[in-house]
Amino acid sequence: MSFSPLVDELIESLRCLPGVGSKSAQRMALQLLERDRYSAARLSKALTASLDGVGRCQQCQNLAEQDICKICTNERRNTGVICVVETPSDLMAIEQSGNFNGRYFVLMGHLSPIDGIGPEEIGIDKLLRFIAEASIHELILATNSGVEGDATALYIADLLDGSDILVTKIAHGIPVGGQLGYVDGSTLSHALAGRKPVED
Amino acid sequence: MSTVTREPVYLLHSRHYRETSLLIDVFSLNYGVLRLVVKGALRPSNPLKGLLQLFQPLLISWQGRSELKNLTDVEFVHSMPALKGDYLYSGLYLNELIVRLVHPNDPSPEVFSAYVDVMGSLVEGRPLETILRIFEFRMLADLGAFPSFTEDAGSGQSINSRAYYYWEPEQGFIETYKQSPYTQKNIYSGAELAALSEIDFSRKGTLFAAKRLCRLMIEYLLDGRSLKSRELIAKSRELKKLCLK
Repeated sequence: MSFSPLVDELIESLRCLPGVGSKSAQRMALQLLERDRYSAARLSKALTASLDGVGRCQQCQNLAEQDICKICTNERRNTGVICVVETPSDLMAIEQSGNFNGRYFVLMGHLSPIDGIGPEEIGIDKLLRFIAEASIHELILATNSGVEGDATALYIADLLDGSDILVTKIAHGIPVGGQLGYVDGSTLSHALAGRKPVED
Repeated sequence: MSTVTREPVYLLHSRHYRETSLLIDVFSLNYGVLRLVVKGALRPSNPLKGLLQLFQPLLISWQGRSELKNLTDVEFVHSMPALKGDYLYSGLYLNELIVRLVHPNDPSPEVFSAYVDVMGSLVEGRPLETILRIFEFRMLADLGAFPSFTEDAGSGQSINSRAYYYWEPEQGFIETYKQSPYTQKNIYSGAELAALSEIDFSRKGTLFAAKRLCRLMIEYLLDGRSLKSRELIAKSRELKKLCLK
């Protein structure tokens, strides 16, 4: 069944969201138009305003409203360490853990030649410029575990080989509260290879 | 419903599909290049995603009658050490080459066997140029891209070891003279062609001739599309020089 052209267009537009099929999109559109016009207006305003106002931080590529984002300009953060992540949601996850006080660089993806994503697409030139200007002593690679995430980390580490910057990679292993018997072989071998002496 | 169990494969590429699933391209021994869905692969409790790693020999099972099959099980054959540096980039290059050039859903056991061999050589760290050229030769031969190495496609005479030849797409090797419009890149001596036909890359000159020829043939087959992994390697060299300054 088809609604009026405007409603159809709204339904079709909502389908761009991840996990939203035609049925969900129809339910959302009708909810907004029928029952909650106030929220619909708010959503529409917020969308327009954020599309205009949110860009990328010129230094770390994270989503930002200013030219340089709040994390990059925060003087209380450790400027000697940069943590490289794939996406803004990875950055949020590390921020929420509360254990990191340095700055970030967001690649917005990982190297994937088959998808046409090379070093330029993930801003490697920008990262190298950032590193050169920030005079850091450590670069933490926090790309996703998996060959393409690892390839991205190795690519960056390879470029900095021979410099005096310490390049580290986050550990991969058994999740907290996890049972060894349910962990896959590949994760287990990572966990074994990355074992550490027991500390007091 | 057709079911396949424990088929030897290598993963070539994976991408996110819907909320929690993956779409994977695999290279299999008996079915060629295939695309499969791994439902719920990205859920935290799913053990399959840890096993789906590039460059690792796997045994997988699937079912489904349509072109897009459902993956039902993955087994690790044995764990291969991770590739590093140029060996890793070369692995990505080989995968891109297969995705671009090998026809999907068409069994290519000869290319599969060449891929198994080259993966083994990559892990052992053998001389990169030689093992890549051997793979490219075996793949190009199986794709039917190779002309005769023993007969001049212009005159129909046997290749003369003292003469020089250029490669013409769809035709073969044609004798060239000084006034040839073809660049030096596409010129091979008769002696080089004889060594190439034997896949004998022991001499440096032949290995270089093999590289030039493979590059031209692959470019011809790609028909204008570029290989991103090649750019990746070139860019890394360029950036490294900048970093060292």
